[in-house]
Amino acid sequence: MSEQPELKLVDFPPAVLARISPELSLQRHLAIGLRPNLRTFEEFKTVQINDGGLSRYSSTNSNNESDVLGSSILRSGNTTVICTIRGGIIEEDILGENNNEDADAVNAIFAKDKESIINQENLIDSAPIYPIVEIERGRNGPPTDEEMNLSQKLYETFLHSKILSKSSLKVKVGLKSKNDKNEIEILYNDENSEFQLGPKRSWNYILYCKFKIFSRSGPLFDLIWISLISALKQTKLPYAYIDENAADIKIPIKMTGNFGTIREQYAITCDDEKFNNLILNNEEIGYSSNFGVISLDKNVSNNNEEDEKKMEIDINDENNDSILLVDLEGEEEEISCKNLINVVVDSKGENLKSLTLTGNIDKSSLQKAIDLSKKRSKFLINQEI
Amino acid sequence: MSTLIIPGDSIPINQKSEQLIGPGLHIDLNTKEIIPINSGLLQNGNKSIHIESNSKRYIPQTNDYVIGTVTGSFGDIFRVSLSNFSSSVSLSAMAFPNASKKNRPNLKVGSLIYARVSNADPIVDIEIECIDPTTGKDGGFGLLEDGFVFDVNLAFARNLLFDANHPILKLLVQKCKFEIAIGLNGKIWIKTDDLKYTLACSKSIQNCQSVTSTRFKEIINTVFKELGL
Amino acid sequence: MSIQADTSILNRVDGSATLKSGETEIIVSVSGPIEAKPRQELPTTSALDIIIRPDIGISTTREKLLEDKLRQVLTPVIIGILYPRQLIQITIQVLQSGEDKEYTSKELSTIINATYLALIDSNIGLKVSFAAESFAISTDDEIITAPSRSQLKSSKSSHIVSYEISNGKATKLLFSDSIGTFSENQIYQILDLAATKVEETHQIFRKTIQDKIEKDFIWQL
Repeated sequence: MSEQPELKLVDFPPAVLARISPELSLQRHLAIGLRPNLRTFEEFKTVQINDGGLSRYSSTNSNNESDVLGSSILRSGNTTVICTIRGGIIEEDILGENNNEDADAVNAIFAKDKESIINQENLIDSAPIYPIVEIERGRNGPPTDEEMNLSQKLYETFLHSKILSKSSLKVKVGLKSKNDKNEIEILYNDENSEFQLGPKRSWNYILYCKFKIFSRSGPLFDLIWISLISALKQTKLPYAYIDENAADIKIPIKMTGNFGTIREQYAITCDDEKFNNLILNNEEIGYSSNFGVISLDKNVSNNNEEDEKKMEIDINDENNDSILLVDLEGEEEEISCKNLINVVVDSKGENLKSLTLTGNIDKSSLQKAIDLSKKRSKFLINQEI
Repeated sequence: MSTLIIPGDSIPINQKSEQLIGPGLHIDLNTKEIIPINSGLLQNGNKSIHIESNSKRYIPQTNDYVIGTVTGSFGDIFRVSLSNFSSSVSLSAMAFPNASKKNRPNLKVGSLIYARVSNADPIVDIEIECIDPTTGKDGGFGLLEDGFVFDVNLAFARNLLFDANHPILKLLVQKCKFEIAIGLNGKIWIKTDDLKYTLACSKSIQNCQSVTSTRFKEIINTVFKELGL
Repeated sequence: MSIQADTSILNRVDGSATLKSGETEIIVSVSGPIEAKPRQELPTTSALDIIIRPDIGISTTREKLLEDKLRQVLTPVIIGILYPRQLIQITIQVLQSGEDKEYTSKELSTIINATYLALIDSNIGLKVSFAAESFAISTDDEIITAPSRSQLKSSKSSHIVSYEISNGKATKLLFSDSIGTFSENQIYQILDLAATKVEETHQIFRKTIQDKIEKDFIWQL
């Protein structure tokens, strides 16, 4: 019974160490100049993207009944992002001055406001998209914070980037009616006959996009941004017409007053075959990149110095202790990187569209990150389908 | 000498002599620097340095005297609440003078107790006890019967407890006879012969929090006068 | 631009502050450290529960994203290891947003500043002081500090920058968010300008804190 308690060093396989001590695992990888996902520090993940074939206008889709107007499927590493774009038609609010007989009087009161509306040339022209992001995690339930934050960030970035103009979402409404020969035909404004529905009514498309994400392995904004742009580029908007027979006009008359307003209701139907391409402001379109800045733990790198002398060279050429990791991936990197950069640039790479810095980012890392993301964006633009 | 200090400021540490680091100061785990984490008045003495700051939420510290309400009992352990919505602390039935398996203290849910924090490590359950560890006697701790409890700011409670000759207590003594227990968790228990005196005393103490010490007498006199005493 | 700040305005929470900065007005309450629900509990650090309520209507994903950004600012600043398994609850009510719904920079910068004061008031351990400022770039490429509602509306881009403040000096960048169209140089200019602007704001807050401490210890005089 005189057994001595023995102290043994425990060895963990890399996968276990990554789980129980992600920071140490990452530092050890970085010390030899590699990342846990075996990419180098400044190597982006490859992105494969194609037309999802889910759209009703897609050549590979036999289902013409689909209500999807544009789609894309993106693969990057294990992650898959499916983006589908659907549409709706809404009637535009009519400004009081076009509708109301007392408009002059009303305008006199609100003259100032009207002026400011005209001045805000900036955002008023930009049309939003309405995204829903779903990250599949094997169970149902209310959206997680990450899903809500992603869709809101996507909405804000898209709106402020001015990629889509309101004018490209205008519905040029046609009219389905019987002609002289008692045949049913659909007239569109752009073809031959000029007909007027009166200036008072106009309709807009609105675009909903839905993302389904499988096997999340890192920050997702970059990926959903790419898949959104790609899906929008091949989105097509159907022609729409008013069916004369289905139009409904009511004139409710109030007994007490002498106001009789006409309530018109139009059924708008989308044309099965005819469509327009969605027009995007191509010069505003750029891509998004994310970076993590992490400082090297000297203790870890020193321990390994003897074993890994060759690899040390990789790091030594940087005088700075902090290193820039591109395109974060995996639990270790996400947990350990407290300093993050997210950059969205425009098509020429001259201007930025969105920049989020979290934590203490030094100027040189920021410069490097912006530089890399411009190159990356150019590369993606050239690679495009 | 006391100066205003806020988080991020650097603090003058006396390099020559050893100083104890008190509340409001923290040693950063990464940089090993001593940093101020609360804003308040820096009290830099010969042997110790701390920041005197006021708050409403009590965070238990070892050896603090506190007033708590019993919220439940599980086996040999009573759960005691020191402030609303904070995690409750535990009071062992053995932490009473002369306690044994058979001789359990008679505490019901809702009882008030005056106790000492015996272990305040935040990563484990915080423990309090109703026993003076040096003598093994009750030392003034234990069940508080009758009386009335009210809340004050933590800094004010500290001041009242640590200053035995506090002017407010001296002034109140001239007005009436009372028993008082001051908890560092911002709770004060007071018991007098008459409800009117209880109300007057509690109101006086509460009102004195927001005036300068020169006006204590005036405040106490008005409160007592309002209640017709 | 005018900044009006006040602390300890609510007496049923542990810390509170109100801040009016230009057209934007925010009220913040802090409760903590309090008992966390089991699912919120973190074994080694404190959990942060941030709730932002808009001035009009109920909160949407817009406020959710603001909450997330505020969390990114607060997580490194609050010393969580002091309060393991505890909860710090921060509730923010926007009284006046001072900007259109499409923008968030003015609200976020005021929220960050007001939360700083409320945290100081609640005596929760902070590693360092911090402050934030909002900016806009006008169509003629001029940088506007703390833009007005109409300036923001006609701007090309909007920005928010928050710095850590140590000994009255802006030391490290804490958070920055920019949206719109802007050049790389402009962002460097804004980051530099922000450092001096937050220092100015911090001077005002120091005075506010001084007033608070004087009021707290008035019975010592």
